[in-house]
Amino acid sequence: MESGRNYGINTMYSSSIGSTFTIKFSGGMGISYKGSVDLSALPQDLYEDVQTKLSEKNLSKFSRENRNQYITDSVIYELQYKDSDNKFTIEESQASDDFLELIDSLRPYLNLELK
Amino acid sequence: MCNSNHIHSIECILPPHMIEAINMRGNKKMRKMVARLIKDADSYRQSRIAAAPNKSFMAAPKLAASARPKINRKVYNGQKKVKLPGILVRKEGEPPCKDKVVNAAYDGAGDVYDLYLKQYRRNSLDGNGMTLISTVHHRRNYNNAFWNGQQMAYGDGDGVIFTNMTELSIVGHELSHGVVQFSGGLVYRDQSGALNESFADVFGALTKQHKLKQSACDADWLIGKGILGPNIKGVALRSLKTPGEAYDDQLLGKDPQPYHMDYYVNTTSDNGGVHINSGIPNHAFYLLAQYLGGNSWGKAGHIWYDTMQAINNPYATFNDWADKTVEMARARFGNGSREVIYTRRAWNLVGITV
Ligand SMILES: [Zn+2]
Repeated sequence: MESGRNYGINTMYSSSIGSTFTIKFSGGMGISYKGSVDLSALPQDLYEDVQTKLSEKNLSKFSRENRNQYITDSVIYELQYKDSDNKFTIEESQASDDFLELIDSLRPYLNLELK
Repeated sequence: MCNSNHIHSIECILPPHMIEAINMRGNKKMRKMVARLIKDADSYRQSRIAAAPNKSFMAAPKLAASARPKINRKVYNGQKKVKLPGILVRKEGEPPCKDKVVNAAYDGAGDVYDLYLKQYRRNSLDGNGMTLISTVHHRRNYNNAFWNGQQMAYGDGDGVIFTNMTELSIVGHELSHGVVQFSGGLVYRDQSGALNESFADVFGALTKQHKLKQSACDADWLIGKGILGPNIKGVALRSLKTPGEAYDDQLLGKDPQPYHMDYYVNTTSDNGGVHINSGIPNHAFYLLAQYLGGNSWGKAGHIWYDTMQAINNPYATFNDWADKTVEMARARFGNGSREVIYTRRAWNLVGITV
């Protein structure tokens, strides 16, 4: 069902990703958690993928703009770069396959933060 | 306000909540009209409507006692990819395969179908024999399960936060979101969203109790028992018996569910706390089931199920729902009956006066 909220890109970034970013997972089945990714620890191909796909000019490509209004329990992803207040928030059904695959690839490199 | 520089889309003519209501509750003709207007005005919104299921019911048709409907299940292997549904690996009538997760999704869908058919005379999610489609092994390291309007999808978890996502109460939860959708729907935000979540939790719990033939006092009233990772401190995702006590962990924090309106959480995250404040109606159902005793899918389940079929309000608040449960208890069991008295008492105990 339609949430009425804008889960699309809500902020623009500088072109540099920096050395670290965090991903917050919420929604889903009601569990929320957060982790940080140290870009220097990523394998080269994944590092390049992140640098290219998560750059400012490419972020808009991740949003389909057609949120499934019937979906329930979908995950909401919030990306935030180190030393930046800007956040990129997107709901699962609104995100492109590319974005979701990238998030899945990053999971083994995610350092989960304690609450 | 409309921006005068763009073509006036339907959003300028009809407010969003009306479009939402028409798409969810309107007849085919009305939805078609909306779809055409949207197509004319804005192509991306047209695709959103096209993605929506064709059929929606105000209330699902109830089967005649003599009818003998047949279940139809399909389970796909998502092969850890994003695209749905994946490769068909087991369909109705086929024997179990080697993959236990496939079999759990298949069997779980059967258990949910059984509950709704045997206890409420509902033939599948839409009341019309809809095929129950599940995809397992959805994505990589995916810590979630969802209903997308047409099918279920289950991840395998990352082994740290979640492990098995095809536990029976979770299967019952996801499929019950489909029942809500095909019963007129509850908008997935704020209190109506929390009611949507709560209905899914209640009937997820009832699916497991029905399968195990448990009484209200024997049941554990947990959603997702055993699905948390081995080092997570907790027993389940949620507890209807003790909301707020399902887990308390360094990574996940403490289970945020309240059991009483005094602790209602005002938040914009989680679609307005749909998985948080659902603890309140969850606990009201639990209390009613305990008061009435016996099997919870019986009297208490009927009151909740009847309410879902009759509420006719996608923006229902907790108070709207509570009032309707009392009305349904009165209609089924009579004015002044113990069922009516206990329904009122259960709501009063969670801080909702009816
Ligand atoms: Zn749910």
